[in-house]
Amino acid sequence: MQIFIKVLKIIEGIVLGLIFSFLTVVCLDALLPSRNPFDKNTLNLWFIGPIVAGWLFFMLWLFLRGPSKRNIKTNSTESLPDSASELINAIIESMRFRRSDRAEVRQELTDHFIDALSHCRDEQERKNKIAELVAEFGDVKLLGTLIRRGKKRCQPLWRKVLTHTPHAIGISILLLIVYIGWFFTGKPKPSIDYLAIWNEQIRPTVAESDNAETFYTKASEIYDANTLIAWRDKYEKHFDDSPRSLSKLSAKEKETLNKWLDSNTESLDLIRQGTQKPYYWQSYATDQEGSTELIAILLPHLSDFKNISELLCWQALVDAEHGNFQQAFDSCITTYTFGTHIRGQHKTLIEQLVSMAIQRITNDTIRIILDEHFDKMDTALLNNTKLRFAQLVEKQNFTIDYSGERLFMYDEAQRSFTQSRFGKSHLYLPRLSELGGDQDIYEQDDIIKNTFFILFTHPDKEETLQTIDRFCNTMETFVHQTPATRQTNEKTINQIIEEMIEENVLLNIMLPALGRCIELSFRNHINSQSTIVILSALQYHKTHNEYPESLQTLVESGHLKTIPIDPFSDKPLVYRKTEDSFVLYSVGSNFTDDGGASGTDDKGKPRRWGNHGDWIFWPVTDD
Amino acid sequence: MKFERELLKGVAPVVVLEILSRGKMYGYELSETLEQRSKGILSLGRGTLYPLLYNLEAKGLITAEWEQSESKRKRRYYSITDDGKDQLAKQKEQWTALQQGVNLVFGMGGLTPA
Repeated sequence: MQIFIKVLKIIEGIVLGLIFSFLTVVCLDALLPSRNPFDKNTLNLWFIGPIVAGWLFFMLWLFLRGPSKRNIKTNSTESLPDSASELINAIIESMRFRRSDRAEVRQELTDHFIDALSHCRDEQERKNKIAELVAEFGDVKLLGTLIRRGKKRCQPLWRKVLTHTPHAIGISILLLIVYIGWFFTGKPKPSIDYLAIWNEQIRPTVAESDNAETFYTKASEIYDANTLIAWRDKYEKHFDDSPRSLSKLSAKEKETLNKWLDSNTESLDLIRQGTQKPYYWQSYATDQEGSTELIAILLPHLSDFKNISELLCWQALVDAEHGNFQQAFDSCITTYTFGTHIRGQHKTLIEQLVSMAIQRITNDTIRIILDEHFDKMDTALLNNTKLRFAQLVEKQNFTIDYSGERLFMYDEAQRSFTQSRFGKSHLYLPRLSELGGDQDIYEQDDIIKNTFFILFTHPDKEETLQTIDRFCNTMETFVHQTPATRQTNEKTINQIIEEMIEENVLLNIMLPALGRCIELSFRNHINSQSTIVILSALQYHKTHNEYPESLQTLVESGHLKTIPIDPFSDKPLVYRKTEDSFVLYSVGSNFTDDGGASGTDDKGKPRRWGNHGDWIFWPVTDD
Repeated sequence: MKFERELLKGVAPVVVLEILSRGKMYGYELSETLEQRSKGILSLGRGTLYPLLYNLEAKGLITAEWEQSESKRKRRYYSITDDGKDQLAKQKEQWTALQQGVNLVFGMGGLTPA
């Protein structure tokens, strides 16, 4: 029992110490340069600080309160013989209770002795009586304990609550410290090699000789980016990553472009050879030997691939300017095929996005060539180009593939949660901190709230894996729903995703703007289909010396297989014959037919793929 | 006479309540009265008396007040509460029944079977 009381007193000291240290931490925390709770300094302050400060405060508290065993001899017992005083002191000492109660009991016992001795006639009788009383009181420690119990029971409820509250808080904090201790120990033990699984998935079951990998890798290795870099630095204001009409380039710019092309002839040839192969895959590898962390996967050639694709498009524009239209369209077909290859199967999201970007600039390039040189082309060339391009578009699966992202998230889950202990795994904070990087996921004002959230309510590994599955399954449904269909729903994809993962800090860090990716995939599809429509309409013009009245006319005349459906309206692409040409557009991401008004951003600036207006595919416009 | 502890433990609260039902008393006075009234047969050890009084107080059967005694000294006087009186009545009834039962078993008279 006494040990228990001692423990409670220690806890009481710790409680007071923690309050003291909490205030210290809050003051110091405000002065720290970083407010991230996982910052090393903050961690030390939050974890070790309270314990050390608590114990120091406890020692101070003991010192100030004084030991409970000190001899409590007051004036009230001074009139009694020493043996009686000693007995009463011993009882009071063993009571270990509130000072006022001890004083009261002391007075009562003293009175008892005084009354008992008041009838004694001589010293001897007095001595005998004292001895008798001392014997009657029996075991001093037991008596002290019984009196304390009785007195405790006499306390009013409010006092009992007041007395026990610090104890309860103390025990809670003790448990909290144990819990935090548990939380800050343990490490993840990744057991599944998702890198191997992913590499297995991206490889088609075909012969190694069908792989374009050696050509593309070599092309990337010998690619000379210096001219481009110099060009970009110099003309940054005039050119983004998309090829433009050569007529807008100055003589100096054209000279630079030719240098860039000349220095990369071999690289472009290798890409052309590679696209003759039916497949492209390259096993993923990480930046550290032996490491299988998917987050450390390197895509060393991706940036070069994007630049080489641009270069191919520029080459097509130069060829067209020289009247080599077949060669120009060949380069465009090569670039589009290259984009399809990069996309491959079950690839990373970033590769899929780069693939879309490559195919976007290919579509743009074809339109620029048609816009500038259509009158010099013959019907056969247009037909051949259309058929080749349509074949590529038909073969391609445009939907976003999240299977790689699923593996990526699985892998991160096994590295971000400790091995399940006592039936429970928890977040491994150093990993979370690494993933977070510079991202300020902990708003300054929410530092305490977020720390407690992560400690107590953050989903564990099993829940996180379930959320990943739910998320991926949902996304696999969304990728097949056109934006027009989706926009009739109450919530956007991003809102649904946010709701799904809002309580999961890990997934919040990992997941990019996936709703946007889905929109891009539909945009890429309709963009490519519109190129086929444009080629068909121009071909029709060559034959009939006029543009078709409608897309239906193109289908009926056999120039177009089917009328493409705009995923942003779930209706046919908008086609309108004009006085000397035609317009072709999608209603765009505002889902409204603005009558062919060019796209603008939220500030009203012209944007080809703006949130307002329509997305014009023909005629070619500047943005 | 020395009683078994458990035997005394059962009877002690009743006799304390009974004595206090006749007027308020302080600790020493109570122990002396008990001894006199039981003609020395019942005697609460001092080690038992005060814990017992505090427990009865905690249960609300008696109350305690510091008051000036006749000898001008302040003493802690105990008096029975209404709850204490109800409890005493119930326990006295039980004791009477118990006493009769025990007497019958011991062949010491009391109620005779019909």
